[in-house]
Amino acid sequence: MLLQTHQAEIETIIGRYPSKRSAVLPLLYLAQDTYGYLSPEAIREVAEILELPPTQVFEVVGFYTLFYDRPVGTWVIQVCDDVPCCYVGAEELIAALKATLGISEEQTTADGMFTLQRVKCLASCDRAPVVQANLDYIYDVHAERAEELLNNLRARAAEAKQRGVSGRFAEDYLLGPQGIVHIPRDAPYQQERGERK
Amino acid sequence: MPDVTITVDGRSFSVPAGTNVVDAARMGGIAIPVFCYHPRMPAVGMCRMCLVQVGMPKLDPATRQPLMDAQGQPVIALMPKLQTGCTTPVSEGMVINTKTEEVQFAQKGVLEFLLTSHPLDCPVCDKGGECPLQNLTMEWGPGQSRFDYNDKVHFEKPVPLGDLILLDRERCILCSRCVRFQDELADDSVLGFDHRGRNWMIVSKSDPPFASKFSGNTTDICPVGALTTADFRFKARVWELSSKPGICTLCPVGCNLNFDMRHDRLMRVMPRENGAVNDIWLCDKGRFGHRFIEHESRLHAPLIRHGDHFVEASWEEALTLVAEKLAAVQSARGGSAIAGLAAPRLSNEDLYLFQRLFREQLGSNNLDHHLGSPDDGDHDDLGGLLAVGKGTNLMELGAGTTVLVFGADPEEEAPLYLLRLRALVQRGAQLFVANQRATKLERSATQALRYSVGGELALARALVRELLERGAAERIKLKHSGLDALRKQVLAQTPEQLAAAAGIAHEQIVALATALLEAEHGLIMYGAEARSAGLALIETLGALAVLSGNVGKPNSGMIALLPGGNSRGALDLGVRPDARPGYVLMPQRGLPAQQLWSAARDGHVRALWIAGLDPAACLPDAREALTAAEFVVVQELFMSETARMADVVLPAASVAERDGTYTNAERRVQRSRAARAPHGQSRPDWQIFQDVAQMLADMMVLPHPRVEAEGAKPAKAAKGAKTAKGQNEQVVTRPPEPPRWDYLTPDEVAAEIAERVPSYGGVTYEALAATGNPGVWGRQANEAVFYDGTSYENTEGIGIALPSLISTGRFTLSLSPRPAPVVKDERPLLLLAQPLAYGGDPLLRGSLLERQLAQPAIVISQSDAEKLNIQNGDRVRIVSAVGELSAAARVHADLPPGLVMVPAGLPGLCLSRIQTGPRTRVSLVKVVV
Ligand code: SF4
Ligand code: SF4
Ligand code: FES
Ligand code: FES
Repeated sequence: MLLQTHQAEIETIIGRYPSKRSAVLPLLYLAQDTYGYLSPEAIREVAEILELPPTQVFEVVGFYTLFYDRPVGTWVIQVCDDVPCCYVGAEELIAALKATLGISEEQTTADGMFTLQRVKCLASCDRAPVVQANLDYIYDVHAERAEELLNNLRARAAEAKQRGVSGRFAEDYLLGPQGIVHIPRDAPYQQERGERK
Repeated sequence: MPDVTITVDGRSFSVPAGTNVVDAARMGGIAIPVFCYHPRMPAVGMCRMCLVQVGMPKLDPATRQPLMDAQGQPVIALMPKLQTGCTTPVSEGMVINTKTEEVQFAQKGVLEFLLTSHPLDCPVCDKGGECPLQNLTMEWGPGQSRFDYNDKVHFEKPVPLGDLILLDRERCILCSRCVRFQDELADDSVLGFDHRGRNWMIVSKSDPPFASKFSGNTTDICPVGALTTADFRFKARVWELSSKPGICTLCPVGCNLNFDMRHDRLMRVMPRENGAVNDIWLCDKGRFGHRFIEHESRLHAPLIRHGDHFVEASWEEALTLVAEKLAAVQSARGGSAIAGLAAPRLSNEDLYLFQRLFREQLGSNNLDHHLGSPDDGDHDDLGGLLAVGKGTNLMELGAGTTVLVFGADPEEEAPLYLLRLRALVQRGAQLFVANQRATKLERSATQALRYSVGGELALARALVRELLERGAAERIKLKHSGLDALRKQVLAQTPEQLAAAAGIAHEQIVALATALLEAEHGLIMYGAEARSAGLALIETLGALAVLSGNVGKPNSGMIALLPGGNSRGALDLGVRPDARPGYVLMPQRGLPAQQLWSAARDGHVRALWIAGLDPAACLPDAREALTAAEFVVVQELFMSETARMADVVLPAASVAERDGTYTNAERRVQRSRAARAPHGQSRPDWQIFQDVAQMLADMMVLPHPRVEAEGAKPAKAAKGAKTAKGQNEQVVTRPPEPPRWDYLTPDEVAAEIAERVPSYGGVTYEALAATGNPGVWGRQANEAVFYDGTSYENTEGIGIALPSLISTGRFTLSLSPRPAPVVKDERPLLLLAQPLAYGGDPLLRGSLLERQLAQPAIVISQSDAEKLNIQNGDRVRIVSAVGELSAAARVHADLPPGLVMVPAGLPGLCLSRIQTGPRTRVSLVKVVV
């Protein structure tokens, strides 16, 4: 099915590599974005397209945490709970998110909007606490603004659906005084700093 | 490789450069414990069990010469950290310490760490007693664990990885031996790792899961009890087992195995190491497919027909009846009215006595080991004449070897050859795979040649032509004839014409011819598909072997994949209508199996003796013949379709219940020993033949060899042989000694074979036992480190390779070519009977493999399917000149158009009903329902 719905894209991706099997990660992302997660059937589809033994593709999916082999919400919220983030309130943030959403880690809200996960250092400790939503980085997220964050994400559900959960098109955001601010790719680092409270 | 001198724990010795530290130390008798390393696979350094201290001689930076200390000894620079021995190659002057405190600390640490998550359920673990983890912990591990037992991780267990193999995640130490075996050795990438860290686990996601014909081997090399077989699980403790050395007779490889018995019961089948045959492996058919031995439906007593049912009888009664009936037919109508078929899985002793019984006691040459089905084909003499030479050992082959596999599917016809050929390629051999369709072996080929449907003969001729053009004929050293005719034939077509007819690029043909010509060792293996093309092809392949200089020497020659475990034995020992043992052609030939059924139907053959074959299962002609015959004896393990039609049914002992020798595809004679008492009252086949022969000898006036003076040369002892047509009695001389029928044991029969059949000279049981050479393959003192109990040393003999017949100088090779078989049938498709390991073999009964038996199907190519608008699963019918057959269609992307493939031997799908010969042309229609 993937091959029927995305033939051109698949051919472009495969064309980038000298051997077909190298396209396994991009094709898995494509499948994940198309189906919302990687069902066994989706994984087999990728294996078939790439002429790989299915077991090998399952191994890849099992190895990487950003491949979801069970259904997830429109937004996958990953909160860093590593030491620097913890110092500035990651645990409080997680508690607030859990309370607001009424779910605990690794669960998905009943409306299918959010999945909550803990992750380790996201390598942006200087802007802790850090949240990843479908791999969009959102810096400076504190517990008291959990709801604001969720509202913003909920409002952008259509956008999330369109971009997919894989984060293939992820961007950077800052939870500034005026709410969520998009940080353009080429924005100089210093300038962002200045915006912080 | 040059040797380097190393010092291990203070002892210096030389080892080949490039050896890894673990193997090098082992050569010096020093054990370094390993888990993930396995000598048959490249090292990966995953488990850290083999940590050792490694030092190198310090070099003077200016002179690049080793620095010497005050005592004149080289100064050794120790590497700052311990090294994994399995991934470190030795080099000149290397110093290795395996027993320092630091090393011991590391070894204890690794073991303690592995055991933190280990369930310690040795008391209920199948591996207990032969478990490297147990052994290594005893030898190198900490006496106690500091880990709280209650903190151990627990998983659901066992997880079935497939029908045959179960995984215990708690026991798995994640060494990846199983995964690597499947990927690298078996070429079935069906195992993998899922998740990471504590959740790491082995999974199989193929469809069906763990789809591999070699899966059982992973349980041998798994260094813990994580992988167990559904076949042996919880059956016995290994220390209760006694291992009885046997030979697998399920295919022509003849793997060495052990029947692991508890008292009289078969608990499991394990590989027995034989570097020349199966190395340390067994295929799943051999490992799991021997449950037939104890199947409840085994015949346990002789049966005599009374009207429409059988009544149990004593041996005395049954054998007397057989002897009397045969004697009666013999005296009334002569030997030509009697015929015998013996299965190509019977032992050499059985086969030899069978033909003696027929030729000497009954005066009949109507003997065969074929089924008498339309696709029987010709007897394969070339695989014996040009067989691989004495001293052949696949283990020694690598670079410098060219292997051509022609028209064969080794994975299905002789599974273990797949592993052996892949290993050959990994050691540097060149493998050419020529087929008309995709086979698994093709994936491992240096070069695959897919000839067009029916293009095989053109390809073979193109190769011969190329060799002739290069003057190869001048180098033939063998006695031969017919070269000019051959030359004339292949030169009649240009290389381009031949290449076009074969559908193979001319350059590829040249490349293959060159590789064969330049090879130090050349092997040509051919199988069912090639044989179905007829002798014209096989003989051209023979010419190819001869012209490229690859015959009559060790490690070179032809390997024919024939059905059953001992077709070669049957051919060698004359269970055929046209030749005595040793391929001595007879002037008067008997009926081959194929002509038997009509002869019996028409009343020319009145009595039949069928040992171990079941023609009635699939051949309507045979059923008719059996009904028409006056007297039918069937000697069997089970109540087969043929047995049901018999007048007397004699229960035979299985391969595990008697001693015997078997000759494999490479013409290696190997001995198998009795592992248990015969089932019920069953008896070894040779004994049954002898008993009847003895009675016949006592009761019969005939066949007293009629001595007719005129012109009889006193040469060959052709005792009482009559011709097939039963008319003119053959001129015979008095035998030099009265036929003997008083063998007490099969080794006496073997001794007689050794004496009378030239190429079997010296192959006595004594000699076979003497070839057990523990120094070559057996275990060393520290063997636990490597295989530990799960593969057995071979103390029972590794068999004797026979010289190829051509090298005996008694045969002249005829190179004169046959014309290509002419097919007049206009039907568009070629029918291919696909030989399958898990086809309809009745011996698989009672085994776990029964669930994997092939399903009836008519396999067609994508393009033919499209043309006829056929989808997977549609019911289709194939129609030949003589019949039709219908089944579900399976569309196969890899099949070339013009070919229809049907699994051979399935009881529910009798191909013989539509076959017109070895090759049948058919048309295909969709059945509209
Ligand atoms: S199952 Fe056995 S062989 Fe496979 S990784 Fe685990 S311990 Fe190693
Ligand atoms: S490869 Fe052949 S001989 Fe070896 S175990 Fe398998 S069936 Fe038996
Ligand atoms: S600790 Fe949270 S981003 Fe580094
Ligand atoms: S790391 Fe060397 S044996 Fe495992």
